[in-house]
Amino acid sequence: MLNWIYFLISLTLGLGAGIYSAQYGVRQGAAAPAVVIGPWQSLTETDANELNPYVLAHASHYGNLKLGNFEALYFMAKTDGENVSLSGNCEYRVKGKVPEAKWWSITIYDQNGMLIENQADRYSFNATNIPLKNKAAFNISLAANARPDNWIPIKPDAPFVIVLRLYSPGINSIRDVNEISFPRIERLSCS
Amino acid sequence: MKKLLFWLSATALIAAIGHVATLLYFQFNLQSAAIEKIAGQKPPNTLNLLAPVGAKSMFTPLVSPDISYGYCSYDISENPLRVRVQLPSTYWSLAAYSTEGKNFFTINNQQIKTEQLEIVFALEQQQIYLEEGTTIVTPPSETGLFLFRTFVPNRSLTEVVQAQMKETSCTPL
Repeated sequence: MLNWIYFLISLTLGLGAGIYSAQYGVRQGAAAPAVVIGPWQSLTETDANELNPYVLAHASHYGNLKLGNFEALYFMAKTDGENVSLSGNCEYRVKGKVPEAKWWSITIYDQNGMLIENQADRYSFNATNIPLKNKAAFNISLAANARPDNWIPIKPDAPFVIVLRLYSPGINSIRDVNEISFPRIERLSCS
Repeated sequence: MKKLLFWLSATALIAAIGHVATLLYFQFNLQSAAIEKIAGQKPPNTLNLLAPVGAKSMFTPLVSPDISYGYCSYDISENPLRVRVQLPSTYWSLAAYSTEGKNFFTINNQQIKTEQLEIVFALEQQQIYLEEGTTIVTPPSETGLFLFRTFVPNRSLTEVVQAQMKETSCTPL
C-alpha cells in the first residue's frame, strides 16, 4: 500500500516537473538571443536555432510572423544603456543615427508585446514621420507625461520594451549586426 | 536510504519522460498560433484587410502600428491560387508562411518596379497546367498564409493605404 502511495507521489511530481520544464523551455525559446549588443537583443532566428526543437516550437506557438533576415531585422531592448530594466516610472531619451535601412521604426510595447494605450494614439516613430537633426540623427522621449519633442507615452508603474525594426537593411547590417549603429537608451530621471 | 534513492530516481525518470513527451507533442502540433488566430476568422483563398493596428486592435503581439496588413489564408490542396497585388508606391512586402509559421517566400518593393504583381502558389503536380511565363511559388504545405504589408507613412493616411490594398486579390485558378 505504501509503495502505491510513493508511486503516485513520484508520478505526480515527475510528470508535473517534466511537463512544466518542457513548457518553460518552449516559452523561453530555450536559446539565448542570437545577438546581444548593449541593451539590444536580436529577435531574428539563426540557422543554428532552426534545429533547436525548443526554438522551433517557440516560433510556432509564440512567433509573430516575422520576415527573413534579408527582408527585415528586429531588435528588442528591455533595459536601458546601464542594464536597468525599462520602467514606466522613469523618463528616457532614445537617440541615435538614422539606421542603414530603406525603412525603419522604433515602437514601444508593454512586456507582453502589446501596444500601450494612450490618448495621443502614438506608439512609434518611423523613418518618415520623425523629425531629424541634420537629416542624420534622431531623439525620442519616452515618458508617462507629455514632452515637447518626439514623445511616445509609456505607462506609469509598468515595465515596457522598445522594438527597433529595420526593413530592407543594408548588406553590411545583414552580414554583421555589429555594423548597425544602435540607438542609445538614456535614463534621464525616475519618480 | 536505498528506497529514497529508488523513488528519487523513478521521479527523475518520469520527469524526463514527461519532458520529452511534451516536447514531442509540440513538435507534432506545429501550428502557428498567430496564423490560426488570423486565418480561423475567414474562409481560405480570400483577401482580408486587418483593422489598423492600435492598442485596441492587435491581431498578434508585436505587430507594427506603422504597417497596414492584408492577408489571405491559402488552401491549394485542390487548385492553385493566383495572387494579384496592385503595388503601392511606398514600402510593401508580400510574405508567405507555412502552417508552422515559417516564412518561405518574400518579395518587396526593392525587387519589383512594375505597378502590378502576379504570382501563382501551386503544388508541384499542379504546375504542368499553368501557362508558360507564370511566376510560380511552391509552398512547403498545402495550407498557410500570405501577409501583405504596406507601410503607412503617417497614421492619418491609413484609410488611403487600405483603399489601395483592397485592389489586391487572391483567387483559386
